[in-house]
Amino acid sequence: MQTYRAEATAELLFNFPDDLGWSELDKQGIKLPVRMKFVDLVIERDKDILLVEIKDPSHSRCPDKERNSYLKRLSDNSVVTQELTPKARDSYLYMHLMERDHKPFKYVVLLGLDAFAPAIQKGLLGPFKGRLLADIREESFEAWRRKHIADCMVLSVESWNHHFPEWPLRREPPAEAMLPKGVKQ
Amino acid sequence: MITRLHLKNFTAFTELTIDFSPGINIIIGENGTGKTQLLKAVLALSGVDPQNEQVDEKLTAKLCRLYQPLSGKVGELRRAGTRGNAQLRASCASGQSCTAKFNGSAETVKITQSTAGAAKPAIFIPTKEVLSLVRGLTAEQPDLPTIERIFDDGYLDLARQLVRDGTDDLDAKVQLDPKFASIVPRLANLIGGQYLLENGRFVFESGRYVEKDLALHSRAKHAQMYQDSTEWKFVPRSKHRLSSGMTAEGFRKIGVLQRLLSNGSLNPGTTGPLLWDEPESNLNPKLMRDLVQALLELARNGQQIILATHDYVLLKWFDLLMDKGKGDHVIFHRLYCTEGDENIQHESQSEYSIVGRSAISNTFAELYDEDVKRALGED
Repeated sequence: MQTYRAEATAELLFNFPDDLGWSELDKQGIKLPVRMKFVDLVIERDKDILLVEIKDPSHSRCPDKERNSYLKRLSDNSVVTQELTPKARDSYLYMHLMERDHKPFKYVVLLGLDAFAPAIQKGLLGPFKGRLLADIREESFEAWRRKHIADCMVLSVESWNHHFPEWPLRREPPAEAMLPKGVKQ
Repeated sequence: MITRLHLKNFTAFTELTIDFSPGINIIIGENGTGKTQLLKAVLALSGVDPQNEQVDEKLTAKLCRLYQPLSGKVGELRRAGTRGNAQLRASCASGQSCTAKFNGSAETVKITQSTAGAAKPAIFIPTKEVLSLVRGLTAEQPDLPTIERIFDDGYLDLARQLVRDGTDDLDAKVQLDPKFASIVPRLANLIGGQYLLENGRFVFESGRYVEKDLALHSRAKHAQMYQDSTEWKFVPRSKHRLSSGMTAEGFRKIGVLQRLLSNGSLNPGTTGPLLWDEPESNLNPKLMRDLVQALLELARNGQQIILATHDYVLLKWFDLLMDKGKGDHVIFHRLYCTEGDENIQHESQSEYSIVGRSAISNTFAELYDEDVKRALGED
């Protein structure tokens, strides 16, 4: 079993079985194509490839003000248009140019919403998916001809564990020793 | 204004006591939990006048025409499988209360307790739109038995209220009474016109309300007007009028509210509760926000509102638009059954989170779950 955190300070901890084909796309500290933005993870399954982007407004060190501002950016579409859609497109391009596009791509946005009330979580996920897919399909004055992302889904921590029980995810702050200097728990 | 309703062994209810807000009450619950039955009970009891010599007979006839029991006898409305008489009791803010009882074989209800004075009758807007039916329901020589077989009294009462005489000059009303100024233009602009009663039928005049003589007022005067109340004027778009049947059904539902306000059947602060069964039916979700704004405005002007809904969008707009600073008081009443128990229970609270426990919210979650499963190619 391997574990994965998107960043050293991230609280969301994934457990992946050893035989799962997964890789980090948005790697830190290495040269990446200029101005391209990538999703955090790529997971290859039998019939598709999951592009996984992790957003965690419920991080324990995320102040309430920042958390609310994130909710606002979620609702006014700026997270979709400025971050999530470009990451899906650039990640697809990268995978295509690397000849790793032999299966359909599904875009999974993991939103750490556990700090919010269940009603907010339920209310956000459904409409949010609709807006994200619409934006992925049509970023400019005309829609992309190629459906480069076959489908997308927005999951909470709870729904991730429901749909991927074999890849358990939990919230676990990193140990002090793991944190970069100056970062307090 | 009704403050409390108690139903015992009546239709779907074994025992239910609900305390109502003087503002907005939203009844939620799955099909079969008695939402419409509850609204009809309020409608029947709020029209009772204990001074009337035939009050028992009148209430009996009302209940039969509203619930249409198969046998035609009121006794059938007693909940099957329960012990004791059926009992309905309503209490009002002004002190009136009324209790009615009947047994399973009764042909007449008995009003066992009432205080002096009649509670103000409620106005009931049923699920189906009524505006376009008015011509048939209120014809000069109607075939009443046939009409009563098709429509329960909720529809007939409303049709009568819609054709009631009263000023049709909404413009004047909007100017004279500030409480209409924020509601009527909103409703008209929402549907792009207004409904008028012409020769016993409703017609639609397209147009919109605009601020009156805006250009003639200085900027300072304009600001003052806004502070007091904005002056509005309806500007028709053409002389051509449409029959109400040619307009969208959702528009006609808004038109009902417009008409009730214009002829004085609905007069916030004066009239009895407004009961509305599923305001969302046939309404484009885009219209929902303005409808909720209009209902909140009515409540701010003293109108008690009790509505039953299945609609998440409508509920969410109430949650988002209610302003406790403006005195908005919204109570959510959830009717539900627990597994293995057919008795309907209820909980009431002013927090929207109650909706999260309802089937409406769970259905959305289930729908989304299926969507994710399909995207992932799961079985």
